[in-house]
Amino acid sequence: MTKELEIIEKVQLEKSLALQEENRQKPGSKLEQEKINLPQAPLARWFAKLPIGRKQLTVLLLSQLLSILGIAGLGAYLVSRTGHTKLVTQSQSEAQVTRINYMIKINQMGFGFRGQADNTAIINASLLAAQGQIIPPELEQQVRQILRGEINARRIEYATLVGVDQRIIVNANNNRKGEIFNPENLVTQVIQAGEQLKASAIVSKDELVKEGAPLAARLTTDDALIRYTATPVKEPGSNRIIAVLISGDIVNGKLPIVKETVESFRGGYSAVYYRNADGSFSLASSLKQLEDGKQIADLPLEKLNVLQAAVNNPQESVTQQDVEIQGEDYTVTAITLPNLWQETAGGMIPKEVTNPPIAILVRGTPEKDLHMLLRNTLSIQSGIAGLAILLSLWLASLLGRAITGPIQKLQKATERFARGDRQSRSPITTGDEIGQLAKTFNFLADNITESEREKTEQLHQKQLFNQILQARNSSELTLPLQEVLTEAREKLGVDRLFLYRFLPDGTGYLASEAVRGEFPYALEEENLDSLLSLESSDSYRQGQIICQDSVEDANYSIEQLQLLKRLKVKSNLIVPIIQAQELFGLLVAHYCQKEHHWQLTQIDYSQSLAADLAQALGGLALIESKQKEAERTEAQNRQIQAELLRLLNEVEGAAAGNLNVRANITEGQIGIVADFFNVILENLRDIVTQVKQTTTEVNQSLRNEAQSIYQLTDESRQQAEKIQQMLNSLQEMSQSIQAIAENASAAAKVARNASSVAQLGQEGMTQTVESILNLRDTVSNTAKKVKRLGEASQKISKVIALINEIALKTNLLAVNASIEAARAGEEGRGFAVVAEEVGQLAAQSATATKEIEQIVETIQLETQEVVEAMEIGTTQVVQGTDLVTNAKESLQKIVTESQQIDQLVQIISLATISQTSTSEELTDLMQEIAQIANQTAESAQIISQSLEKTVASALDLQTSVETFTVD
Amino acid sequence: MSQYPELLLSSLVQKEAYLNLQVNRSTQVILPMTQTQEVVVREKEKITPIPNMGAFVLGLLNQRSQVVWVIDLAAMFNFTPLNSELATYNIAIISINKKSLGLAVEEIKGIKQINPEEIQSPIGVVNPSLVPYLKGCVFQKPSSMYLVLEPQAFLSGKIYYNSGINIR
Repeated sequence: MTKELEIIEKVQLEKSLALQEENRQKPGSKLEQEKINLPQAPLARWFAKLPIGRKQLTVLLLSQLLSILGIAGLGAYLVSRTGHTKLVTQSQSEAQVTRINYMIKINQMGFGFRGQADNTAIINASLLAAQGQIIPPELEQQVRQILRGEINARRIEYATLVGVDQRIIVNANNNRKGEIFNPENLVTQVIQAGEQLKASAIVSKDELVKEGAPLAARLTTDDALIRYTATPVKEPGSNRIIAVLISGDIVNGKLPIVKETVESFRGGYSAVYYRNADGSFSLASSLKQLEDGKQIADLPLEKLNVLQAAVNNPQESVTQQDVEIQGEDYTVTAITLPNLWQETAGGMIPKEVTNPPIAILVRGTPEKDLHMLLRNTLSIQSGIAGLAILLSLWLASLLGRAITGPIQKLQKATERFARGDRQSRSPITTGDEIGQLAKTFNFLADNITESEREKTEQLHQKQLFNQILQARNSSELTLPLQEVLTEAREKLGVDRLFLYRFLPDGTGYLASEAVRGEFPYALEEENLDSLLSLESSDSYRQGQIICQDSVEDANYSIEQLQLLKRLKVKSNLIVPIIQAQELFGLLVAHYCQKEHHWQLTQIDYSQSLAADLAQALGGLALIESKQKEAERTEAQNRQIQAELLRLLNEVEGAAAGNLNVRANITEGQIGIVADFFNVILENLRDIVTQVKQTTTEVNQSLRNEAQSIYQLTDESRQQAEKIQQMLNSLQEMSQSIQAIAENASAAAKVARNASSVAQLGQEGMTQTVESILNLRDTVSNTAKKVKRLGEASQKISKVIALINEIALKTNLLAVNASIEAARAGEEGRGFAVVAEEVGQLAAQSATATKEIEQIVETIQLETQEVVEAMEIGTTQVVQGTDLVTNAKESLQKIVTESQQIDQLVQIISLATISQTSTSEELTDLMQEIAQIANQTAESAQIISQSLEKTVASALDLQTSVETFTVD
Repeated sequence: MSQYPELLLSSLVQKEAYLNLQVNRSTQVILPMTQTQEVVVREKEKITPIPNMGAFVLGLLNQRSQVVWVIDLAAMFNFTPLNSELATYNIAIISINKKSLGLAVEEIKGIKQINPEEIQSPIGVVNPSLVPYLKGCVFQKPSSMYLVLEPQAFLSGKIYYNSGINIR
């Protein structure tokens, strides 16, 4: 039982050791193998993996970004929103101004015609018309003049006096007297209302032409928007309406209406539209002013839905934003005008009409300024936002460094610790939670290190005990025991510690001893057992210890004391090593320097050590007793062996194959064996005799067969070899053909290159010939010119000779003159001087001619040389031309020949290609043959081998059978 | 008059005009203008050689219907005679009292103004055989010497005793 326990313990110990070793070997891998429960979502996973610093930075940055961008976005939105609202309001008020501008003229027209209604001429004419009398032409002319004056002054188209019977009395333009004129039923309505009416309407171009209105000719559209005023002409006194004065003002083509608005707002777009009967819209007049003050007239809106909206809501002004007019954005407001107003004492009142409004005013306020403002605001905001983000980034990184720095240090220290660096501690730099954490980590590390150290010690001790346990005899015991004792001695602090071991036969010996430095070894003493009080072994078995603080106080004999003195023992402690009442030995501790009072802890330690040792020694004792038992059994076996040996000697001949031997049959177990043996031998002899005969026959037949098989094998092998040789030569042939093909293609390439190079050369040569011919022409031209120069210089020489002669003669004349003068005496004196001068002049010209002569001579000499050089040059040029022509011809030959070579080589290439393929086919065929031959050879080989084996087996059988002696 | 400063000067120092002749490369002679008739250049053929005359006598020249003896001055002075291959002769004709003689020289140099007081005695300066024909000699800078001929000596005839010339 104890042994099994020990084994279990041992196994556990080994396991723990192995585990520890493993941990020490690869601590990192375990760290990394630690599973982390990361979230599944990829973003969350990424975030979870981030270091703390990054995490904190990311979150801070995100929140900063959100808030900054939120504020910036909200600000931009608010600015944009407010701007747009303002723009709408502005546009609407501007539209109202447009409306006022539009109305001013109608009102003025109304005022004017109301005044004219009181004109006596008009009243008179109206009265006459109402009474059905003829209006005198003077009066009619006067009224026409008035009406014409109105037209011209107000720049309007219609000024017509209509009678209550709706017939024209007088009109301003073409005479339409007597025609019915009741536009928009205005005449009728005025007569009913009794007050001035104003209306917007559409008038056709035909009507305008008929009237002969000044604008009619310029009108581009078929109809036009017109504003009428209808003023009743009343009979003075009775207030009876006797006629109606109609004025009509066309809007189309009249810029002032829109211009006033545009100019009063210094820009923007203003337009007047009218609605046709079919619901479509036409532009009456429009104006757009650009920033630089340039004005563009009659620019239509691109989208007219704002007009339709205004028509649908006649009471309100309709505004639309971001309307593009010629590339610029506008906020456009459209308002409708009532089709009919009535002038009352309280002002103008729109009259209810069923028709939808005709005239629509449009005002476009430019959005450019707003856009500019928005852009500026946005750029400033984005700049500030960017700055704020940068700042927050910097702050976040600062904070991150402050937080993550210590954490990283701590993390690194932890990692180092986990990797086995037990000295690793985290520096404590802060007093916050991280500092506390570091402190805690350091404390933890200290604890772990300490407990590990203890564990290691225990483990070491356990190992030692384990070795003791493993010891199979006393010598194996010594070394581990020595180590245990040395350690224990140090721990106890004693000067000597030894173990006295009892053997099963009751004798004892000093098994191991540990002594501090200078003290003597007890091992060297013979009568050591006298000190151990062996007579009280029973009390030892009871666990009794002997504890002596001073050996001198104990009752030792003189011899014992002397021995103690030799060993310098001052205090003595003896602890028995017992297990289950059996005494295995004694553990003895000595103090040698001075007397010592044994401490309870020392005794406890010694006892526990003794208990451990008891377990170890107990095992050894068991083994030793088992060895004794084994020795006894061996002696019995030796007896049986001797008898067997004798039997074997008798039947030894049988082993050598002699089947004729017989064993002596003795009494006992071995004798029975001998009897059986004899019977077996008898049977065996009969079998062997039969086998011998059979094997001889088999051998004979096999030998014959083997011979023929060998022949077959050899022949097939030779065939295969020859085929192989053929194959090799075929392959060589194929390779050489390949090489020929390659060489041929290379040669073709070279030939082609040569051909092209030669062609190039030929071209070059042709050019050279041309240049040389040119050169020859130039040279001969030059030579001619030089010759001419020589001729010219000869002419010069002739002239000079002439001059020279003249000079000489002049000189003579001068001398003669002088002579004449001299002979003339005093009168000739002046003449003599003149003659002298002439003589000098002649001498000078002679000198000059001499110089010229020399120069001309030089020229002639040089031209002569040039002419000679030219002639030589010409000859050389001619030679050069001939040479180049020859070279050209040779090159031409090279070209033709290289082309021929190229063709030849190509033919060779083609031939080699077909050869190659043929040889390849041949090779394939040969390879197939070779394979078949090889297969044949192999099969023959196999057959031969199996035959050989058979022969060998037969021979073996024969030899083995022959070993038996039968006869 | 300002055009002729030399004239003024010559009138002051009483210089006289002399005809300057090159006899050979190293010898120049001058003779008074007043005793000179004219200078001419004549082809060799225009001078008719006369036989049995002295070696220095070239022949007779018909000059404006006047027959004049022409002599080789160099030869007469016992210098190397004029080159016989020359196509023309430069001849100075001297004349005193209607007696004329042509002196053929290498070159007629022109007119030279000489102060008569500069004329020195030729004795000791030239070969004594020349002295009878000379009035003297003039040294002029830099180092040229002119022999001043005495025309009278040529025309007197007594020097031609062995030449056969009879100057008329």
